[in-house]
Amino acid sequence: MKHLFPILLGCAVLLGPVSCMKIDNFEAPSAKIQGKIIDRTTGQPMLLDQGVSHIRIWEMSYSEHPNPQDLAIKEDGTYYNDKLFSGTYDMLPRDGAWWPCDTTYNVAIGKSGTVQDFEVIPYLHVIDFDATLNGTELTLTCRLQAPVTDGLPQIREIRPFINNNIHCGPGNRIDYYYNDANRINLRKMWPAIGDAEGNQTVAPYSLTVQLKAGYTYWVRMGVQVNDTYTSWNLSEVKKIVVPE
Amino acid sequence: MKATFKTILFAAALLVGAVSCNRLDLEPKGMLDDGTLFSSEFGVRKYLAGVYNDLPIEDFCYKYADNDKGYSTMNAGGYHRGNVWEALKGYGSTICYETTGRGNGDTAGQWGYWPYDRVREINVMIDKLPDYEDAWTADRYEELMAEARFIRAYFYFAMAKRYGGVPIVDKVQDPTAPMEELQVTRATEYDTWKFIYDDLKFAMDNGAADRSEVYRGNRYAAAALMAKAMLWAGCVAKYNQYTGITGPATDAGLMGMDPADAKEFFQYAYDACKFLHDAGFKLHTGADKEKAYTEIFIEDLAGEEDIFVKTFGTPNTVVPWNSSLYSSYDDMVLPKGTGMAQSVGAAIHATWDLVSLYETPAIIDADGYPVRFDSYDDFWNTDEMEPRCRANFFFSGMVEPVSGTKLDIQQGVFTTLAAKAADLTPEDNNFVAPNCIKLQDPGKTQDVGGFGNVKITGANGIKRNGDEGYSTTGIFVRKYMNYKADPATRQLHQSTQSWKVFRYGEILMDWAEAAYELGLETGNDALKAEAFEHVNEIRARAGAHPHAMVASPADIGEELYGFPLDENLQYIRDERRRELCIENQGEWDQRRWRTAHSILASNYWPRTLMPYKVLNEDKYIFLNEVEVYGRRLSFDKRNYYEAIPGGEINKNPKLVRNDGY
Repeated sequence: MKHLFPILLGCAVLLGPVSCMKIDNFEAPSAKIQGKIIDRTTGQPMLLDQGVSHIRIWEMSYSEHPNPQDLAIKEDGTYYNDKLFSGTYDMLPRDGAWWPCDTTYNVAIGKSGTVQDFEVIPYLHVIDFDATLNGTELTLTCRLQAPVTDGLPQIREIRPFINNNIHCGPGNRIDYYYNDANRINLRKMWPAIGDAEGNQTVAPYSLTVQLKAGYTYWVRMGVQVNDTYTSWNLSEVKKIVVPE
Repeated sequence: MKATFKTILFAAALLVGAVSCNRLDLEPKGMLDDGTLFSSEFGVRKYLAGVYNDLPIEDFCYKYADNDKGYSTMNAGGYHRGNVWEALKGYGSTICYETTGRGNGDTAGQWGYWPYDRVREINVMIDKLPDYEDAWTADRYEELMAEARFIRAYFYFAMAKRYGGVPIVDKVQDPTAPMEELQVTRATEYDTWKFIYDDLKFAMDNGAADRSEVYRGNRYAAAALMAKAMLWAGCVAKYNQYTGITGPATDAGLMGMDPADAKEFFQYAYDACKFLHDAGFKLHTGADKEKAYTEIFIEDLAGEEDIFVKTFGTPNTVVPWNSSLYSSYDDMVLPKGTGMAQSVGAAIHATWDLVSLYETPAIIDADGYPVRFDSYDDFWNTDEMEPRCRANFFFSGMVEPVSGTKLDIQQGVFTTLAAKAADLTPEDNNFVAPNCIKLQDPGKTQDVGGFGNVKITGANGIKRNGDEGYSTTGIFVRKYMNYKADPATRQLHQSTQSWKVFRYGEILMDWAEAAYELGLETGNDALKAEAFEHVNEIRARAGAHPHAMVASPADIGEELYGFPLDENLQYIRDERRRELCIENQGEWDQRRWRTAHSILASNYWPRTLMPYKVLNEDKYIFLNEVEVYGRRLSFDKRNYYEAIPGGEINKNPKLVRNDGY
């Protein structure tokens, strides 16, 4: 019985070091993928906003029913991720204002890097976007063009997006300008949208907002349709310098 | 040492050996078995007590978002916690702009409610009760079976309104069964609602018929749930198509239904309401309409308006912290002060968006200028305000009945005032108008040139540097406030008023909506007219003027929501908001009507009713300024259906994700 203490001590000495051991035989994920979301009708990358649209990926080499992960798409329509595990993935661009597209299956992603572009058809193009400053009053105009009009979901509204840095869009905006007074409420299907002629609207949509003297703004316009994600088709961004 | 070792070995052998002779399958004396539980009234009550506590009732302690969100039930952890006192901060009325509070902002409200453990409990009762049928009279046996199916339908309703179609498990699953059987696929949304219908129909036909027993699931509780659930199903069938959401779950019928099915569900809802009417339920009325209206929520109205009631604690007992048997309602809703809220106070504040739905005196005249009142009392103490409005809210100058405090709410003063109301209420919570003095703290005076030392802010608000205890909107919530409470119980975890889960007032609103929708579906004008009989029954009790149906109603839906909705139906919906506000219904109604994402499209900014004194005129005005803290609301339309919990998909890959997630 008096040996109990040495035995316990021996156990503690033996077992203690185990807690200090690091066994992590997994390498940090470092497989790379990059590419663009291309507007099929123009061949150009989609005009997007930071962090609004995603590419959903499923790591099929890991499990039969993997949990999906979402890769963010940048505002210029490109994406890049170098923190993935090597393997084969299914990929689907989503959360954006484009017609539903098919999943791309079995994309091999490895450490040497993979380039995978996606072609999508946007619901609408915001065309002839213009921003004219008169004193501190900014007038924004645009027209709409629909690459595909057949089955186009209801068009909900047109809004300006205004920010005080170069990142500008539904996710990067000054909230002050995001209200009912500063929007064109349409809530109509394409054939009822007024003066739609073929696949374009004729008269420009126009909105006026008051800016502050002495500030620099970045502005663009967007249009939203009633699809699953109610995301925005966006114009290019214009820089507006309001004089003192 | 040797001898010791041998002794020990021997002793061990003896010990272990002896165990093998023992019979291990004895009935444990400390546990109640099926026979004990399902063959006597006491046994069934014991078994169901916990199940009732877990019913998904959106009561005082229901919190839709943030920490500790969920139902207040006895099961700690996961998606339901006990009565954390903060529940009122994430109260459902804050996301349908009935009130503002810290709960504003996150309208997703998802915490993965997946109560198949509770469904299993009730399936055990449905499965085992037939073994003990001999212990009961034939009627009582049917009543208990009906009660069990009512409870099961309640859990399925709470899931169907969140997820659409869910797996239907109506038998007790055997854990040793093959995985193939245990992983149940989602039923279509239509089949899920029909499953709920079947359970409730059985419960309505066979449930207990004693109207005075309002604490258990009798046939009337089943009918009330039937009305609510089937109205939900009818609306989903009719309106979900307009959300424009597409994907595999929608294609498979797991989200949304054929619009042609709406008629069937509206008819079920209509029939259930009529069933309750024919059973003799009626509205609680009284000569003093304001007083009678407050009594609905505090008095025991079994046999009259009460259909199904959840009780909370006993007054003046020692209460364990976070007990789900009590609520903190009075302390979290009343203003802070002697005899009123003792520790927190006013965590939710009623909005002008809500109050302006009622009959009230105008606060802006025909030319656009703020109306001058001789005193704040002239806003509420007149025939122009409907008694229901006074019964639901406290305005500046009203007396809180328990403490006798005359509530004093004022935002500031104008030395002179010539501007129009619109110029005084821009969408800017930091705006200060010319000639206006506002202060941050309640109960402040200041020297104002020419007028001496005058009161700027009222003792009970407005408070702009802290959102609790004092008013931030000019209106306190009065509904459900216990006017019989001992002031000492106006503390956390001390409120004991019951929650009226179903009352006949709600049934009349269900009935009006179902009748009008059914009238639209079938082209039956008599049904539409009937809808307004129910609306006017509610309005008569409220002390409001009757409202006549518009013969050729205008379409107001296209512009607001992007789909047709006539003005009569909108009126019925507005009446529902007036009658059922702050009862955790508005949030769900807007989801059911598929209107939330349109109404909140521009990050909705709720409005207030700010009382001011105009010093040079010695008059009082009210301005509907935007809410003080910039708490705005938005709604992502994918949240009409919540995401199937990821953990459940991991366990059962057959579960199809909802579209949009």
